[in-house]
Amino acid sequence: MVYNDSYYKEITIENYRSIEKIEMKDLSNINLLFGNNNCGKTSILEAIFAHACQFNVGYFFNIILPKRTQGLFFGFYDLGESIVNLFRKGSYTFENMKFSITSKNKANEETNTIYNFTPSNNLDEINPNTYEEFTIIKDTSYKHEATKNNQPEYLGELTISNRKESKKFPIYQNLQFPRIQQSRDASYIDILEHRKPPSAITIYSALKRTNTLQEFIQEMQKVFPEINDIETIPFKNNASNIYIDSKGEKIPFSIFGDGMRRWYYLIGNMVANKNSVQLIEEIDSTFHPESIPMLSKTLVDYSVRYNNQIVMTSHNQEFLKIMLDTFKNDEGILRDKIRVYTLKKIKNETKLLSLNGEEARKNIEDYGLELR
Amino acid sequence: MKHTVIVCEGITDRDLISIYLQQVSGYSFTKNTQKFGLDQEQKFVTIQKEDDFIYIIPSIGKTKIKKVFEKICEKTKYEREEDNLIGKMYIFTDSDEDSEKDLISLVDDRIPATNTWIDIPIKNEAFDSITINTI
Repeated sequence: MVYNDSYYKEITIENYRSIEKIEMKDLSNINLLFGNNNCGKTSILEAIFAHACQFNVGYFFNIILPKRTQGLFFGFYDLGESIVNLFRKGSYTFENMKFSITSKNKANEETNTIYNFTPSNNLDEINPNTYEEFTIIKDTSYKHEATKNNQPEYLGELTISNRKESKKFPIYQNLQFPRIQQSRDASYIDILEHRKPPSAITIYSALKRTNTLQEFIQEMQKVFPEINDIETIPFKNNASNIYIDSKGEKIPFSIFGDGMRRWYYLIGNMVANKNSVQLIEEIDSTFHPESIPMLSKTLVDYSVRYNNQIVMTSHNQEFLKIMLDTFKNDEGILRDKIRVYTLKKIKNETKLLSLNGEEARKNIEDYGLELR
Repeated sequence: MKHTVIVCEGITDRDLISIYLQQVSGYSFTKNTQKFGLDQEQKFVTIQKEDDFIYIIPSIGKTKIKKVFEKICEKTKYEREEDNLIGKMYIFTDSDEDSEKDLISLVDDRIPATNTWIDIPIKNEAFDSITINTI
């Protein structure tokens, strides 16, 4: 994939979850979405992920739907409601739900993804308008497409389209979908992703296969000097685990602190998934302030080296200040590689305010402004 | 909340203006909570009467008034809290031997005349457009 072709320069999101319309302009390598809790930062990451997945709806659903509930749903209606809630209330009727994402790359070429969901009548239980039908006489001759399928696990029909084609996906409770090439490689990294043991193995394998493990260990040693080596050791049952060699001792990776494991996961993922958009929730989470300068440098360095574009969220002004201060003697990086977008409700309207890294640092340092 | 900036030339001007406003108009000293990106020697004071805040900034020299003026405008451009927006700015300077044109060029060419209130429009991403009433 050619970097300049895939790199998002602008993104417009419409009707995704609580977002009515958000336009992100002048995106760069490191794009920080900043703001208070519940302002829509995570929704932006999810929408970008949907855009990158495009027709690969299985990848999108299997990452986005379970992550807010640890994969636990109270059955059919709960899952159905999770799908319905991807669409902005107020912009749809229950029969016609739609969100769209449009991006432009550096060459100003536009890509567009539209998700259109028609819920099955099986979901009438959660349709706020269902009960009106008992009191209001309606034209019953109209039956929407999804009604034809009366299987009990049927949730509805999703149509995904871009400007060139359109595909229909019947959605059942088991969320099984064909594997389809994504529009752009993307990784969605939530706060707890680093705690999943298979994730650590996947990254180890990618580092080994690309001969980047030694270089990666050297980067990690700058922050965690106790690490001598990272290796896998097989068990008798053919399974294996990751171990950290520290002062001659082999220590299971899983017993190390969250900060180190998340570092390994975030940075390793950038090496393992080159040319991709990395969508990272709460980047500051689990990191000690002392490790933030090295984390920031590595994010910038690896985003350039491995052609990764990072969109990440935070509500921590201390993190932002340390990250920007890390590059105070390198205005080129602040100006060209870092963007800070703040989602803020102003006079009942949610606005996305944007600054480059240099402006953001000036706002904090010179004017003492709060950027959340 | 009402925020006003007074830009003067020196420390003595700053102190005289602040004492005058305290004695005559009932303001009192308060802690500096705002930052204007000023040079180290440009130590400003904040006086307050209820929700009315005045920041008295010495530019330390006539030639530095322009830079202070630009900093105030830039801070206003970036401000995201409506409650913190600066509404008025006074610029005090001795005319000495300077012509009116010279005095205006010390601050901003958008100012048509001295001793006259004018609105300086500033584009702000959060609030679209803001004006600072300036004399």
